[in-house]
Amino acid sequence: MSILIKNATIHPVTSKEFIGDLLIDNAKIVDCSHKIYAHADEIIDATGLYCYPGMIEEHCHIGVHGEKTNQASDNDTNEWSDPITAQVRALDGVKPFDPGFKEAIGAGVTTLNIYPGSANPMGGIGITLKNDLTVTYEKRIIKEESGFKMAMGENPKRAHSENGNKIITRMATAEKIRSAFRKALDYDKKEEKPYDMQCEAILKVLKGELQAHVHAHQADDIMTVLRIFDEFGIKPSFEHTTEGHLVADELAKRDIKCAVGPLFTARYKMEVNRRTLKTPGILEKAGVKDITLITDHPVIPINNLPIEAALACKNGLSKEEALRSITINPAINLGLDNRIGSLDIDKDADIIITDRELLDPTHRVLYTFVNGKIAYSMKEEGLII
Amino acid sequence: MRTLITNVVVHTMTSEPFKGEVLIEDGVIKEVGYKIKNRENCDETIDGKCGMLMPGFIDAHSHIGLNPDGQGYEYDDTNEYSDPVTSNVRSLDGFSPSDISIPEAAKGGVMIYCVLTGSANPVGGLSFIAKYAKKKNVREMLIREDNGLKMATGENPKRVYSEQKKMPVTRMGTAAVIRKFFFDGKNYIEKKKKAEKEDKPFTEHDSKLEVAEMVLSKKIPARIHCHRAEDILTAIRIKKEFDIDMVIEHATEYIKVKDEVKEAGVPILLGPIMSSRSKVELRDMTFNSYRIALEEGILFGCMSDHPVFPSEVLRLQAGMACNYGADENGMLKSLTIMPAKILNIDNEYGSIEKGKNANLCIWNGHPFDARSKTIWNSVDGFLEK
Repeated sequence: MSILIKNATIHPVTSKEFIGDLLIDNAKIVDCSHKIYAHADEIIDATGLYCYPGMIEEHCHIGVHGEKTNQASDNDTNEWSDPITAQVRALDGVKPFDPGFKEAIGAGVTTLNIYPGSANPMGGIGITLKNDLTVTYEKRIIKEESGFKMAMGENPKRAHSENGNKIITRMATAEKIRSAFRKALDYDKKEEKPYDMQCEAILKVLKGELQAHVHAHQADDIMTVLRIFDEFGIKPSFEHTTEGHLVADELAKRDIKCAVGPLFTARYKMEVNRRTLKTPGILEKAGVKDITLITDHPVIPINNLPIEAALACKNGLSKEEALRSITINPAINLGLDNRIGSLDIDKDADIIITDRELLDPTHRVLYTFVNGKIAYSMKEEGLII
Repeated sequence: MRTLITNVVVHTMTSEPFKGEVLIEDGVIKEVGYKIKNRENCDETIDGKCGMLMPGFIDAHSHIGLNPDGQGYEYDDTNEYSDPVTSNVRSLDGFSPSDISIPEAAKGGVMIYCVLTGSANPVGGLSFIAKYAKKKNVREMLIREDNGLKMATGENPKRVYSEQKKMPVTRMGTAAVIRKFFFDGKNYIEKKKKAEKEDKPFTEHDSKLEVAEMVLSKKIPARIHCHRAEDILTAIRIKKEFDIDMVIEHATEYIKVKDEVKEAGVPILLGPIMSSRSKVELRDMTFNSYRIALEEGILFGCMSDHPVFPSEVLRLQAGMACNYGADENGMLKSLTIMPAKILNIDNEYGSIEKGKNANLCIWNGHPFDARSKTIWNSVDGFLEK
């Protein structure tokens, strides 16, 4: 099945926008240029419309936090039974029929990275799904082990002081992480080692096979993570990075990947008291590369992703980086930039067509393509809230 | 002992019903036909009064005798919730043959049951298969010992262990507990092999992991409690990862993932559907389950989960399925030959064929009609009325 999108303002994201055509064939982008003369099964006249790569949500809890009922029985976000649950996988907690997936597709989000929650210093392994609702759950998986979720700050303190006083302070969180790393290293050195799921997962992080994504809001938590990771010779990625603007130089110097957001919640915790929409702009100016914006859905609903980029743009992030922060940057952050994140030839045909610019909050998504198929059409389905 | 049954419509379950006769000799079906030639020297002749002769119904998922009706806490031995992994416990050791439900079930034509442990634990315990016996002695009743390992996903383990602040408190945790059990089982097998290779005595016997070995070597299937679609997918994922035999119990939302269920080739035991939607995971429960399973050609059994739904009226649940368009003969098979296949006792039970055990009932009307009753039951030829 080939589709030709004609005469759109195309934002490849990795290069400057232009008015032209885009050809999809067999789930891939096969051409993207000023004028394409080719036969196609379907032609979409996009005169006056805009064409972007499908957005990528690098940090959300769609499906693990069951919104279908919002009952405890449906919430599988945090395995808070122990501070170290490195062996659990978001893969086993996702409810594929959760309404969040449809909401994402209606908003133009075509790839979702789902993490376990932030109750545990070592929370478990994330999963990246292509948001193609026409195929079975297992076929949506594009990265089965997408990242190793860790957490600092208030959440582990709160969760584990309630649950048997396993962690009371930030000091204990750091200690739990250090000793878990050491235990895995000892396991690795053993001559005879019966398979241990937990140590095997942590070892992947220590050997650089699995990237640690660490939930950290406050600057002091960010610095603690850098200190611990230095000790073990590995590099973290940060999630939330709420006070990243206070340590922007350090993050830039070390070339650390930062996911920022959600940028418009209430300041309902002490650790988000210094939250500001200026953070992404400050990080960019300091030289932090590949800044990613996240909604943390359902903390803020996923359709706010482009609006978050717009507000970051309004508060100092360049327009180019704002667009990149919801497309190619999360792809780089997840190690999937060879497949998704921009409108380049040979990439997956995950594309959205909008009636106004994506950073204009009044835009509507008219079409969402996932793997070259129309996954959402506003004309047929109406707006999805 | 020779018994001749005459004047009945024989529902063999493997062919079309016909008006005929059946000869039983020493508890085994000797002959089935329109008119038995070799009819001399019968100790007894039963006039079926034009009733329906059927195999005794098989309730492949029951807690009969484990939680005797009207006996309260002291007699409830369904769930050993002291630990999430209790593969070393056996429902046989908690079974009470004096449960008043046992003669009641026989009255409703249910002559064979697989008695499973409850669903509080991700790894619950061993099940057994029993048949009705007049003597309240489990030895008289036993068909198969240790025929499957009960496991559970979804809400129940989460609820039980979040109260105890132990893993699992999420679906991710449940999957991790089950996977760890099998990884430990593999380590255990290796350890045994090593001792054998070195010609040393094996001194680290582990009663829990012995059962893991039974499942991993396909001696017995995992009988895994799953209601929601995502839980069914998790079960199938675990089946593939460890290459084990599996039966999915309840399978309330299997319709949403029926292609995956068919592809995996796992049989399902459907029910109880004639009960309330008492939990979030039962929200999408429907009687259409039976019709669709018949249409799709999925191997399934209609089960009661006694005492959740009383085994005595299991036949009415099957009757209700016909109300939703399920084929009547198909539903009779779901009470007889199909569960016999799932329990791997179809060489001896589940149909009226030469050589099979004479586990039979004569009904004075169709069993799906609430007014009908059994007028004669036979357990392996032993006359009950």
